[in-house]
Amino acid sequence: MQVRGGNEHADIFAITPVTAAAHELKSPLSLLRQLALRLSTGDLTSEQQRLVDQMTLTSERALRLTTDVTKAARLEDALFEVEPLNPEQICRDIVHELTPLFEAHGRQLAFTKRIHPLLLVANRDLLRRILTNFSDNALHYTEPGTVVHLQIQAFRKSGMVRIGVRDFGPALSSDMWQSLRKKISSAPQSVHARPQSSGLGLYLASQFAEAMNGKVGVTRHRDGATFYVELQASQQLSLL
Amino acid sequence: MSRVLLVEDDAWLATLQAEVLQAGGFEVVLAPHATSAVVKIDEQLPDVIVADMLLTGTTALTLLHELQSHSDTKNIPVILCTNLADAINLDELRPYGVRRVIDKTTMHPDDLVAAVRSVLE
Repeated sequence: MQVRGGNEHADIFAITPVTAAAHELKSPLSLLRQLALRLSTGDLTSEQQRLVDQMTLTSERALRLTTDVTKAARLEDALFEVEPLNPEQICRDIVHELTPLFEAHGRQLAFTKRIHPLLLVANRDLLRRILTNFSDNALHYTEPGTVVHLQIQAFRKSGMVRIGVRDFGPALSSDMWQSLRKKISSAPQSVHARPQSSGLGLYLASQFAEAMNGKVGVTRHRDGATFYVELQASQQLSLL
Repeated sequence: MSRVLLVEDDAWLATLQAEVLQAGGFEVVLAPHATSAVVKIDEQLPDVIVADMLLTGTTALTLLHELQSHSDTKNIPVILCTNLADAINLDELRPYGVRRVIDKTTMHPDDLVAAVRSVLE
């Protein structure tokens, strides 16, 4: 047996500099996560277990971001199938997935159930990534002990459905507010909309929303903010 | 005891995965790249191959092509364990012997043992 030289299949993955960089980050992050998971199977004290859990959750958070970067880089080349989806189910899934992370930070994530169920038109994976991104953002800006809420609203006139992630933290100053609104429609910049944020996650979320003919936005509150995505309601909504 | 050829170019990850597979009752042969994998296959046919997709100097697809070129290797089940899982269509790779794709970014170490067992059934 012999191995042919060269890499005639490289184009299958359409690797751009951005995706290559993200992949380079994924490898060590995946390894860190695997090592932490392996370590957690051993005989650890509660303090050691807490630290290992934090390593696992932190590496998973970084992996989500790198996966978002690779996904965004492929938006132009790939077709993303949209379908009628129940946003409540997706919100429940996200709450289930991120609750360990929120609890590790002394916070909670909750979903407010609607009386009247509805459907929207979206790509399941992209919508999950947007909401996970918003939830992750909320985790780091909401006050300890508070509950971040996933909320669904329907706008019958415009035929849109809005899913928001409401956090409870320090009020945004006017300058931060203006900067944040700008970041929603522009590429990541070095100006910090919120402390320790490049706006990358928000930019990626806006790209994912646009790929589904939707948009993202933010509402300022006296005690925090709501980051939201708006998507077209499914015509099947009228059948419910 | 079933023999697993583990093709992984990250030495630390390879060691971790080998330990998990050995604890699961498998004999593990390590190969850091496709060329080494071919040498190991020539020496002793594995029952299963677990391979990363992007390897030093080439991709696992080159190895898959080579496996399909030989009657004694074309039916060896292959499991891809990769960070590129979300970019891979398993159905397109089935003709190359790929039976499972594991996402390294979300997998639990024990998933590897479960995947190997499932393709050996």
